[in-house]
Amino acid sequence: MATGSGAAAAAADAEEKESGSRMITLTSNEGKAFVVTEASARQSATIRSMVDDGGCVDKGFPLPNVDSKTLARVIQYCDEHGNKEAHTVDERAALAKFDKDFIAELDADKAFLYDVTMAANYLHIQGLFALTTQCIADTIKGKTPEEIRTAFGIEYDLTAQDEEEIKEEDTHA
Amino acid sequence: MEATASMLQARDWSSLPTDVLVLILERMRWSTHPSVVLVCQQWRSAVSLSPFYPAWITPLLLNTADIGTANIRYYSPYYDKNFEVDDTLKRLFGIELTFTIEIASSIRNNSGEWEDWKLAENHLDWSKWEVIAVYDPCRHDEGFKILDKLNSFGFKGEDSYLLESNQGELMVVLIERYGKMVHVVKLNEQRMEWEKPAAKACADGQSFGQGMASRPQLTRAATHGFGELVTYKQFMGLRSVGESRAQPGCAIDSNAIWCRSPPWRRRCSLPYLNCRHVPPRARCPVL
Repeated sequence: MATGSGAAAAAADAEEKESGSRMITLTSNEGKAFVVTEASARQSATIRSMVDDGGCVDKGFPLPNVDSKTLARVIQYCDEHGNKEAHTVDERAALAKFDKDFIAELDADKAFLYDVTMAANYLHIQGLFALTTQCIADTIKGKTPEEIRTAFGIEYDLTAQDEEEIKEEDTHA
Repeated sequence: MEATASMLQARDWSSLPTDVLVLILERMRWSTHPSVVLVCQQWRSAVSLSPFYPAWITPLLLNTADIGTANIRYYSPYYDKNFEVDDTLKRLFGIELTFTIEIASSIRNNSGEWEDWKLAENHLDWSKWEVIAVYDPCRHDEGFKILDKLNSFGFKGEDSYLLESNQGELMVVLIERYGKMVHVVKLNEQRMEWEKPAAKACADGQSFGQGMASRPQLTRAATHGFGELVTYKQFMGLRSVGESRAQPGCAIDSNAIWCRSPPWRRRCSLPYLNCRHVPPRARCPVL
């Protein structure tokens, strides 16, 4: 450890940063504050880069695009992946189990799945985004357009002309 | 819905940003795209942004039509499937190998319409890349036999195609990344080793530009006595190495290997080999 008076604080700060033991406050769009470990927050590339740029760690990070319910769920994922080790086979299996249960719950609530997907995209949480988009892809697979619309509650907005164009693209030869 | 009006707006799946949709599309095979196009305006626009290879320029054929068999087979990157057309039997096979080998067939009825796909019974776990499956139509009931020691090619192929020569030899065509190099090896079943076949069948060492062709000895397989089952013995496998997203860059016909580089979006200069034999708008099996 550095002993110089000026460098001491910086070194301690660096060490803390290194270990990820600092706490970071994330604020939802409803103004609710969530305090998480830095290791957890660093799952988000968006927050990671802000922290590394020396951003407002103390003031916390307002997330105007994420509501409290979604943020709580996203943090649940980040805690699991940021705070836990994944070195041994067992640890990795535990994480995989967590992911499986996590996505199964979201899959059952498509509106929530949407919110979490958007949050993962906005916060650049790679693992979570991969998890949710794969879930969406799996839902789409093997379904007719009608079934896809039903699964996601999408209204049909294609015109007869659109359909004609699509058919044209399809049969062009 | 307990959410506020703005949240409802935000949760409308038809307004999912196209950049997110494109990433979702990347997690699916091309065969899903035609369905996604028809979901809604937004999803349709995402498909148009996604790397895409239109069906109508797709048929990269695996063709033995000019060597005396009635069977025509081709691989469609668009549907990520092999199709086989037997004009005599009016039956079409789709072979799918993304996760497991699944074979579906469709029959053309008297009015010329293709009926719905029916799955054939053979299933094989294809999640391990280092296996090679042999299907022998004489022993149909036994299904696929798995040979070991496949991982000794000595070079790495991005895509690989399993073929059977007219002498009943199993051959693999491996295409390196971006179609840089094409290797052809055959299986010595006695020693369970891959060997370079003689002379012309080997195309390695050559750089493949656009439409560069070599001549593997891919000729007629014995078609006598096996009835319709022999049809997928001749060309059994496709792309046994790589990710589901890998893009096969080659088509193989009786005379040549045709090789191109991705991206598929680029219009191809391949000749449309016998496209006329392809049944129009044959529906793809959902496997």
